Amino acid sequence: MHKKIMAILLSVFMGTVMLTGCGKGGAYPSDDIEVIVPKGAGGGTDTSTRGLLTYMEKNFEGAKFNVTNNPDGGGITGMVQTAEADADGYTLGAVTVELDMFCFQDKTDLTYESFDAIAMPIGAPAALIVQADAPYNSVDEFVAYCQENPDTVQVGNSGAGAIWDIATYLMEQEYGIKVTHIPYPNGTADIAAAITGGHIDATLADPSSFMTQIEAGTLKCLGVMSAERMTLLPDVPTFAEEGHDLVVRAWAALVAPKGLDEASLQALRDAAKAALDSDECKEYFLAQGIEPLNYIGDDAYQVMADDYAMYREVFETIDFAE
Amino acid sequence: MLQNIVSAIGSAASPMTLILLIAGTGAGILIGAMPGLSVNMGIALLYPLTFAFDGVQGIIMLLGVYCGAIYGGSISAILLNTPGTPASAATTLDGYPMANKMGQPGRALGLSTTGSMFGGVFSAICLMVFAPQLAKVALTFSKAEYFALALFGISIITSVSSGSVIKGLMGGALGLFIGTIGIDAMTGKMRFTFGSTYLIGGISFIPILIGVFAFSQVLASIESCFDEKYEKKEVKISRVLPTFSDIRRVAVTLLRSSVIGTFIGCIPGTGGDISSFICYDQAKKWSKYKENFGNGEPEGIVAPESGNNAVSGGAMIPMLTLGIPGDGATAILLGALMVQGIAPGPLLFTNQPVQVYTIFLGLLLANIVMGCFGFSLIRVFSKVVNVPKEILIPIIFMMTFVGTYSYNHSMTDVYVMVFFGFLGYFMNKTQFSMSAIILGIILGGTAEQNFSGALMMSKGSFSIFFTRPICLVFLLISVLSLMSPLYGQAVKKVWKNRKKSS
Amino acid sequence: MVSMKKCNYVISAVTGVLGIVILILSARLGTGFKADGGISTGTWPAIMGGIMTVAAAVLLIMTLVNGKKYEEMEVALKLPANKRVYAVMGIMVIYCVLLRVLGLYLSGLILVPALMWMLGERNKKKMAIVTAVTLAGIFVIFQLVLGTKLPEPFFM
Repeated sequence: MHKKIMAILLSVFMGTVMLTGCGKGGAYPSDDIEVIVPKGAGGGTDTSTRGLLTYMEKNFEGAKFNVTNNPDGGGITGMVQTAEADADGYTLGAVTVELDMFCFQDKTDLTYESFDAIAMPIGAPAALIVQADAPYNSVDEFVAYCQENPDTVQVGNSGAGAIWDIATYLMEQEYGIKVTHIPYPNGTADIAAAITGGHIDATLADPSSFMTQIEAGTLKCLGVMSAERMTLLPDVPTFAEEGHDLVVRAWAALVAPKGLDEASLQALRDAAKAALDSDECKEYFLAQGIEPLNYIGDDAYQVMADDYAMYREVFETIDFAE
Repeated sequence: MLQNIVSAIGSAASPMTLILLIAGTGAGILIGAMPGLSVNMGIALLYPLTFAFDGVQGIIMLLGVYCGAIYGGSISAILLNTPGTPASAATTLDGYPMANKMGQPGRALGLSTTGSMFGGVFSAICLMVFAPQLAKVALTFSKAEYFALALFGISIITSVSSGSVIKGLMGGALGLFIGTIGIDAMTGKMRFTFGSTYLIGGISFIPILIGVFAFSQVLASIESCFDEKYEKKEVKISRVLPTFSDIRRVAVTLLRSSVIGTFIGCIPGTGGDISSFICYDQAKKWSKYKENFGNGEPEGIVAPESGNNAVSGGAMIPMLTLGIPGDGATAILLGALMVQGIAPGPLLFTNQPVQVYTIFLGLLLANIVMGCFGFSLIRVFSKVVNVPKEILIPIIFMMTFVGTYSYNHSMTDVYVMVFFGFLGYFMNKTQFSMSAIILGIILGGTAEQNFSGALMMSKGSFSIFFTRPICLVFLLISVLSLMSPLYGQAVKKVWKNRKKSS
Repeated sequence: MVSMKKCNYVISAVTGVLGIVILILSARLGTGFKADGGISTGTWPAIMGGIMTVAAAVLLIMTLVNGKKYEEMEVALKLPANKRVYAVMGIMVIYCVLLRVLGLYLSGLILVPALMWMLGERNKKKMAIVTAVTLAGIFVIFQLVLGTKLPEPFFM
């Protein structure tokens, strides 16, 4: 009698396990897709990736995305996890611009070539943001102030060696100025608090965390390091317009581990395109202060490759302080 | 203005909103109670549901999840000595002894629910009345102040080490050291990573928490139940609400902890975990029943619980008034609000007053609903104590494994958890304090980064720590706190001598 | 029963060694203050290593001075009750390997009854029911409701 019960229970369990495991049988996607976001919940990367996935679900029959956040190590562990996952289409991930930088900082051997790009929904440019009552109203005036007061202007960034720190170094190199770098490793929200509270003078960072203050008039944006003006800040000139061709953007892209079969990859790219082209999605992004991009597939891959080349040059020429 | 409040009440108290709130709070409590599932995870999970509802309704549901999850952690902390969320780690210090040694789980849960509800409601009221003023205070915190606050938190190690102070310091130093493994965010260099990708990310905190509290606790239970015959403990729960004498005993603590919690909450970047320990420490310092702490002292349960729930209202202050989220949970809430067309920031109060009041009321209601849920479920939860050990222990083991794995889907995390579980078992036996290690891990990063950052801002001059008033005050309190075991004995002797001579 | 005195010696030794190792590794990273303010990478860990070494020394001294007090304190490490805990620890290590190989449900099928057996339960029916309910509960909460992935057998 006992043996019968055990046998039945055992077979029920084997059955369940088989079913759960074999859910991946039929047409793609026949099971939940896990997406690893290498940044904390609520930040720019996380918000844009989740937004993209939400709208992709609407355009992709049967797809359900489960997002996990793994922000350890500035995102390295999360990106490595994605790269090492099986290329069966059930594990995707987001990668950020730091992917193109880590390999030159001796942190990892991982490069963008370990992934197949699906879409790039966000590419926030570095924006020079200062207090509203500061004595400078344009990038050039700010630079002049820095030249008169070398090493006193305090510029916040999101961590030593992270993207906004690099943007600051690039600006220093381009204009021949020296400022003090103050890292705020816990994200741009801390920088926003510091600059609003008057503890630092300026920052070069993604403007989305500062939009509420800019609109309220407590902070002002002097310039953006992007190819074109932002729709969210149409009155702010780009650095290129002012004669200095600096383009630094913190992009995040949805990728799959390299080797995913063509059909599934194309299905994902089509869903992403439909999502990013839709007005609903664009409004969603704008409402959060994020400028929507819609690079799909090879376009996204090209951005990753371009930035890789740029940062290789940056790390070879600039000597970061020890 | 009155008209705005009336329409706010209308939308906050609508049937749909209340249903969403109850569902959200319930989900939040469950998520909080499970070790491995965090507040942020719960909010992120339910966030997409808010798209289906217009306006503030979905937001109010998320507020329910937020408050419920912070409270839920205390349930497993009290019943199983396993904090469900890091913010409930301090609740285990007196909650578990009261439930286990004194055999009064119902009383412990009742006190914890009272504390949580009072703290939450208090901070919601502060949010309504003092938001702009408190926001100004929050903005004065720069790196030096954060360092001083973190140092103060670390100094609590001596107070929390009920066993041996020296071993507490060792544990604290170990915890602080563990926090340094990984990338040094202030210089960009890697530390103690030995080429391992896992270590570049640092040793995850949640697996250590689960290992050191839950896993080692279960191992200890296996030892203690070795010769026990199963006797059904007559857990009489005559009343669910705390007795009048209990309330009188904890009243001052309730108020003090709620104030501290609200204040800490409104400083961006600090959360319930720091707040609960600071409130516990302060309650112990000012209590008439100091010696009873660690043995099931009611104040020791109420203090951390009201302290961590008061953070909820406090954290909403910078988020709503400045558009600056204090932690991951408020960051998601911020995004959710923006999607609904509500723009937090300096203009929010003037442009969209109705929505603001609705959010305030939503938070207030969320805390009340959470309290009601808590009280009504105490009898059910207390039954857990009666489950025979042979059944309970394997279940808890499975939960620790599943909870740890679901945190980051990493088997290495599981190994870490098991290792720290073994370590914790031996350390508990030899009078180490687990809370000291946890405090070290929580605060290490903040302390070092802000110390370094403050020196960067002052160009290496230490005067920055002594010329800023708030920073100086916290530094002095930290020093006093660290020395407390030394002069605590001295003060007691003086007091005794005075009593003898008079 | 082992006396606390012996335990303290072991703890002092381990912590002392750990502290010194940390100090050495931190020194390699560079300690001290940087020219433009801020501290070098190894400064903070070095302070921690230092505290640990000092604490180990203090503990050693305290144990030597208060020898009698510590000898009277007993730490249960060799009782039959402890033997059972060590057996469970062994099971846990095996389980970690099984988890990787067999996935959560299959290894859980083995772990839960094994633990219950160790704790003295002999009723097979009870073991089966508890295992079934626990694994079902995990399935419902974590896979259905939360959608998180759980370890899967490597042959899947």
